[in-house]
Amino acid sequence: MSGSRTRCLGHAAILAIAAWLWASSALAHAVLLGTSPADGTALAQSPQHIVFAFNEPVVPAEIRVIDANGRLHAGPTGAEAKDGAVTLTLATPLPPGQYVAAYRVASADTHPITGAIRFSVGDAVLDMADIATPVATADRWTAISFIVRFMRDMALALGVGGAFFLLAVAPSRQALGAVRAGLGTAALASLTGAVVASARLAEPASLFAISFWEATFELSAAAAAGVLVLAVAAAWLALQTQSRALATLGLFLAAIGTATTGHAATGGIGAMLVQCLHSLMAFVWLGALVPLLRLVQTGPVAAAQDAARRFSALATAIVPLALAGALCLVAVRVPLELAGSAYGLLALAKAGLLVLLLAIAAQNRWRLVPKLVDDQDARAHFVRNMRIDILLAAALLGVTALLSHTPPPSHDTLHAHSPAAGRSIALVREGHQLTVAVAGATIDLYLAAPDLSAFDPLETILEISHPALGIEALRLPLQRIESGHYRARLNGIATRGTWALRFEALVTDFRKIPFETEIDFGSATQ
Amino acid sequence: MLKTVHAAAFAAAALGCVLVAGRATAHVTLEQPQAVAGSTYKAVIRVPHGCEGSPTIRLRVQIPDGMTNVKPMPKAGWELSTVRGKLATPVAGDHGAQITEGVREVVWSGGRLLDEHYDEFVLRGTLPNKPGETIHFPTVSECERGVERWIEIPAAGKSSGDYRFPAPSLRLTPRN
Repeated sequence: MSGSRTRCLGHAAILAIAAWLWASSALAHAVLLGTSPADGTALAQSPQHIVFAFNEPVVPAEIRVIDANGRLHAGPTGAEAKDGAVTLTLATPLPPGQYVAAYRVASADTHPITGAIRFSVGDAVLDMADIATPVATADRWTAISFIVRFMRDMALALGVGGAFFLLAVAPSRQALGAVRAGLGTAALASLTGAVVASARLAEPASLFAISFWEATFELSAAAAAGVLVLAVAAAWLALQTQSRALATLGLFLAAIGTATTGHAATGGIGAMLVQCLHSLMAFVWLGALVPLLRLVQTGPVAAAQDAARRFSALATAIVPLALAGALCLVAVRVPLELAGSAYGLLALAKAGLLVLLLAIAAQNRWRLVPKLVDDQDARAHFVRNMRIDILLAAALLGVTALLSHTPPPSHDTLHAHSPAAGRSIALVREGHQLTVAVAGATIDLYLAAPDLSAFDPLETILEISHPALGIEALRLPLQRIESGHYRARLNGIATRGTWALRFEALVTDFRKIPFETEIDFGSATQ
Repeated sequence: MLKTVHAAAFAAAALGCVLVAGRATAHVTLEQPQAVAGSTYKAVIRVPHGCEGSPTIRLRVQIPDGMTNVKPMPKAGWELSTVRGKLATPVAGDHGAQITEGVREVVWSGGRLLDEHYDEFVLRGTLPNKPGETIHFPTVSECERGVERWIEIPAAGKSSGDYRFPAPSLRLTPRN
C-alpha cells in the first residue's frame, strides 16, 4: 500500500514538473498583444504594413483592409505569419479615408479568433460611428462544435474506456453492445469535429468546394481526428480479438488525439503530456462506469463484486493522477482570475463535479462493495450510485466541452501603446514598429518589438532634415516618457513644411534599425 | 564630341575615387574590399582613429553569417578573445558534416589606439560561397570616452558611402 502511495506521489510530481515546464506558455487561445497601426490611429499617410501580433503562432491567418464603403483594399490572402506576428504588406498605398483592418486567425488549438481595428489615412477624421465593425460569424459553428465535442468525449469514454475495462478488468457480455455503440459514435463525432473546426475558421461556401476540404486537411484537428479514428479501430479490434494490448493502445491513441485538439494543444509538449495523461485517466475511469453498472445489474453478483473491487483498486491509482493533472491544468492556466471569469467558474464547476464523483466512489468502495453479495439494499444503493455517477460523468464531460469553447482569462491586454491625438505615421522595419505622432511642435515616437510590446533600444538617435532650407541631419534630443515612448520638441525651430525624419534604434551592439519618413508640419509654425 | 564625353566620364570617375578614398580614410574598412567567394580570406580591419579625441581601448568585430574557420591574429599589446555561438545558418563542412557553431565575434581589448594613430586588426577565415553578394563585418570601437559603431549596412540601392558609420564590407566575386 505504501509502495503504491509512493508511486502515486511520484506520478503527481512528474505531472507537476511537466505543468511547471509548460507554465511559461500557458495561455490557451492566441491573444492579440498589439497592432500596427494602433486601433483608432489617425495616420498622416498610408501605412506600408498592417501588423497583428499575437502571443503565439497563428496559422492560417487572414487580414482584410476594408474602407468605409465596405470595399476591400487588401487581403484576405497574402498575410505573412511569422512567430506570433501576422503582417500584411500593402502593395499600393491606401487613399485617404477611413479603414477597418480585420483579422481571422486560428490558434494552435484550431479555435478561430477574429477582431478588427480602425484607422484613418490622410485628412479623413476618424469617426468610429461611420464604420461598422465586422461581426464574428463563428457563433453558430461554436454551438455545433460544442455539441460534437461533448458527443465525442462521451463516446470515447464509453467506447475506448469501456473496451479497456472489458478486457483489463472484467469481461461483460451485456455491456458489449453499449461499448460498440460508443466506439461507432466516437469515430463519427471525431470526423465531424474536424469538419466543424474548419467551418468555424472559414464559413464554408459549400461542403463540395475543394478548397474547404483542403483547408480542413491542413488543420491539426484533422490529424487529431485521424488519431482518434485509429484509437476507435484499435479498441474495436481489441474487442474482436480479446487483446488487452490493443485495448491499451486504443486508450493511449484516444488520449493523444484529444490532447492535440483542446486548449492544451497550444501549450507545447509539456501541456500536451499533462493533458494526455489526464485524458487517459479520465477515459479509464469514466469508461468503466457503464460496463460496471451493467455487470452489477445483470451479471452474477460475485463476479460483479470482484469486478468492482478490481476496478476500485485501479481507481485508487488513477484518481490521484487525474486529479493532479486537472489541478495542474487549471492552476497553471488560471492563476489569479479564477473566480471572476466564466472560464474560472466552469473550472470550479468541473472541480466540484469531480469531488462529488470521488465522494460517491469512496462510498461505493468502502461501504457498498463489501456488502454487494449479501445485502440486497446495498446492491440497490450501489446501482443507484452508479447511475448518479454516470450522470455526473456526463455533466463533467459537458463542462469540459464548454471549457474548451471558453477562452481562458488572459493577463495580457493590448499594450497601451496608442498615440495621443494628432496625426501619425506607422512604419515597420525588420519587424520592429515605429509610430511617429506629430502634434504642434512635439514629435512623439512609439517603438515596438515584433510582438508589438513596448521596446527600448540600447541607443536612440533622431535627426530631422530640411534640404530646401539647407538643414541637414539636425539631431534632436529625445526624452524617454515611458517604456517604448520617446518625445522630441522642436521649440525654436520654424517647422513649416515637410521634413525628412530619421530615427535609429540600436537593437543589439551590432545591429541598428533605421526608420525614415517624411513628416508634414503643415503651415503652422512654432 | 566623344572625347569630351570620355574626358568628363574620366574626371567624374577620378573625382569619385578621390571622394571614396577621402571617406575611406575616416571609416573603419577592410584592406581588401573584395575576394573570391568560398576562398580563405585574410581580413585586415583598418581602424583609422579612436572616437572624437578619445583612444580606442576595445575593438569588437562581428563575423558575417556563413564565414567559417575564423581565426583571429594575436596582436601585441592587445588581449584577444572570441565569442563562439550557433551559426544563423549551418554551413556544409569539409567532410559532409554540418558546421552549426563557430566564432561569432572577435574582441581585441586592453590596448590603446590614440585618436591620432592608425592600426590594423587581422583575422582569417573561409568566406561563404555566395558570389555576387556583399558581406559585412560590423565593428564596434569602444573608447575611453564614448563608442563608435561601424555597423550600418546599406539598404537596397544605397552604398556604404551614403552612411556615416558604414560596416566594413566585402564583395564576393565569382571563382575564375
